Amino acid sequence: MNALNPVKTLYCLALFLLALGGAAVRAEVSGEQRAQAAGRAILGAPAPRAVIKTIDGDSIDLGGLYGKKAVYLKFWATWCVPCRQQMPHFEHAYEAAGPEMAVIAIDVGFNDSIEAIRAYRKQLGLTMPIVFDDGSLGAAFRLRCTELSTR
Amino acid sequence: MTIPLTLDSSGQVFRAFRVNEVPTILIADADGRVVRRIEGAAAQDGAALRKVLDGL
Repeated sequence: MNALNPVKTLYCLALFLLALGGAAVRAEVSGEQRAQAAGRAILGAPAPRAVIKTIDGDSIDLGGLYGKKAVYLKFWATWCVPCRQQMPHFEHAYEAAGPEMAVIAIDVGFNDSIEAIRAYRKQLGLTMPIVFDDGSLGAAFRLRCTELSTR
Repeated sequence: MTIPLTLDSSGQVFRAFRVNEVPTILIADADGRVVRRIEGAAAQDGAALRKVLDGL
């Protein structure tokens, strides 16, 4: 990268998440503030309606569930350490949920793959519906995610 | 470091460029057209990037 011609570098738009220690600490603080702001914006508002597809090809109409069932969406990723820690509990929540609640795992689709999800699902014996988001559902719910959790 | 750094705090730029992996490198040509998208581990291949830029 250092050898790049500066003129040509002008044509280059690079989106990097930098792993700088100091920056990460600051990002954590402002990240929490952003999360709170995003939470404030969506709490009390009608939940975004969307027809989502599981990695097994089943369609779930969120709009059709609202008002009939409680809807428990968990946005996660296979690389997310807290998500992995919580996953046995989440699986239990899915298995224990009666007909009054829909429990759906939404992979954020960020630095992840359906293959990785399938391997992880097999490893943990997960049985809940899993959706691989293309980013649109996350955007509708005003979520932002980065892979800071791996550090 | 001397590269310009920005924080996409709203996520607008990530969404506009449909970025769902970091790092992602997007290269626009002199006409402003996105001609190349390099994601993940491939973004660390400096020689490949050099080749793309030389080809512009």
